[in-house]
Amino acid sequence: MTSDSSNRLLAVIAILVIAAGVAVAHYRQPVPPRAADAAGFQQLVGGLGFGPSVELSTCPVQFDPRLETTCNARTGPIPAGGLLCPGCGRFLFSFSSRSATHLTGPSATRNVLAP
Amino acid sequence: MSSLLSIARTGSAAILLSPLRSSVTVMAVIAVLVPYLVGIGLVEGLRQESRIAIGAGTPAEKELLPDLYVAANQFGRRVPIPLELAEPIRKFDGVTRVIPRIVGRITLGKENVEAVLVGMPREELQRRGSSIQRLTRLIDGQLPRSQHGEAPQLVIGSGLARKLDNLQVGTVIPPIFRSGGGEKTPRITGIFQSEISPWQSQMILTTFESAAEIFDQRGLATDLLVFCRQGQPEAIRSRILQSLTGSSTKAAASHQPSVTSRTDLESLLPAGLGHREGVFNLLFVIAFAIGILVILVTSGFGRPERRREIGILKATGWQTDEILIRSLVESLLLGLVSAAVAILVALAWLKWFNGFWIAGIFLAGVETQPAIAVPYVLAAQPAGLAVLVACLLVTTGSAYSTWRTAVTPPAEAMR
Repeated sequence: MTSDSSNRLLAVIAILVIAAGVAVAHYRQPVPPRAADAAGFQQLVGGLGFGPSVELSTCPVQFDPRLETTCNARTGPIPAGGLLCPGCGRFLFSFSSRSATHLTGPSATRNVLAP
Repeated sequence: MSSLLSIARTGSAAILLSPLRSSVTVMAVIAVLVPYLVGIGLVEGLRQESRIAIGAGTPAEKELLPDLYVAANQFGRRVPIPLELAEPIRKFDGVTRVIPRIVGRITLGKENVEAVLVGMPREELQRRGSSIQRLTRLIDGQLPRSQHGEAPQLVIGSGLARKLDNLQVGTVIPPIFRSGGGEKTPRITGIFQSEISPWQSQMILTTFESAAEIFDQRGLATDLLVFCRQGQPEAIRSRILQSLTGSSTKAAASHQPSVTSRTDLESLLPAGLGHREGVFNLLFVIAFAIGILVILVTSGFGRPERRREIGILKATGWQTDEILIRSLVESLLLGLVSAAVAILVALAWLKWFNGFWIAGIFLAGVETQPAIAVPYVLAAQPAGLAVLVACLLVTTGSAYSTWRTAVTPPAEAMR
């Protein structure tokens, strides 16, 4: 194998690595105009949408935990009961039932006071 | 040192000596890395959108988003909150505004297309619309203005518009409700721009009055949006919980209030991502483990040639450690190429192909060809991890077979 081919290969590798590095450097933050538009939209609807679902049929908690405190299919103490929800299991990430144990900071208090 | 560099340089030549093996190895690593990078890119993008949705990082004095969301519970489940509960909250010291909101699930059309109906008070929509610079960047058309008793005016999401036979602004759609006030024909006054937010996709925005008529629920709201003066939300939250729980009014007595603050939501975000890190990363640890086995198998491509090549090197005086260094450089270069190509392919998939097919797998309600601009962020951490994993995969996969051949007598290796 000639030295020329080897040099060309090294150059191609260097170009690919630099291109990947530039891509990461450029797309590591959301585009500012888009962020401003998203903020405008949220302002219109009063802050809605928070999870990995865009509709309410699968699991409202995964659309926005402000709308529901727990997944409707959650079976509480049954082992792996959370997986019974057809929605929760497939998401990239999910919000489990909102309880005081998940909260931190000054808000780590119970949402509902005992009567 | 120079001899070491010379040996290292032969590593790049070794890639070209067995092109089939090199390309199969690169393909195998790319196949493992691309879904990982795309998935993490989507999660990071969604995380940024979620932060915007809860107003994280925006100055409190701007009053863009509510500080508290007040809802009602009965039997431990969420129920609509009576509008009359807004009045006592409005009187609390430190509360600047209380806005009722309706959020509900409806289905549209013959195919029962899922939609999220959001109702905000008419005056509030107009006030907010006028405060937003360049509203046309958000909506193609106008904000709804329908009053009580009038035909509902709707702004619909881009995904919904496409699913319902490419609805246009001005279109009248068949009645979607049959309330006590009789049938009314809703009119589309606007369509959300596809790139503003993923959650607009299936959303219908209308006035509070029209939403109440559509659901035939008067005097009720899904939640109350409470705006507070700076530094007051926690105190007001406690006051709402204490005063409404012990209230003597009929409405308050039968409902237990639930208050969600921005801090609660901010603390939920890392919890959700932590769950992802547990499940999603576990899946890819398994994928990476399988990847090592795949590379071990693919190392078999061009193996006789590789054995002869190592045998010749040994016969011409190369030591085992020199052959291993040569193989290591070859593996690292292949790993670098694989990771770089995987990052570029992941970016192309998310940016130019808008997460075609894969966004629908990871995000519920998103079609194969998404009607939204899929949110993504290519963070440096997963990209660095991809480079590390790629180099580790290729090195681990090929080191053993190289070492086995390198310790074999040259005559046997060349046979």
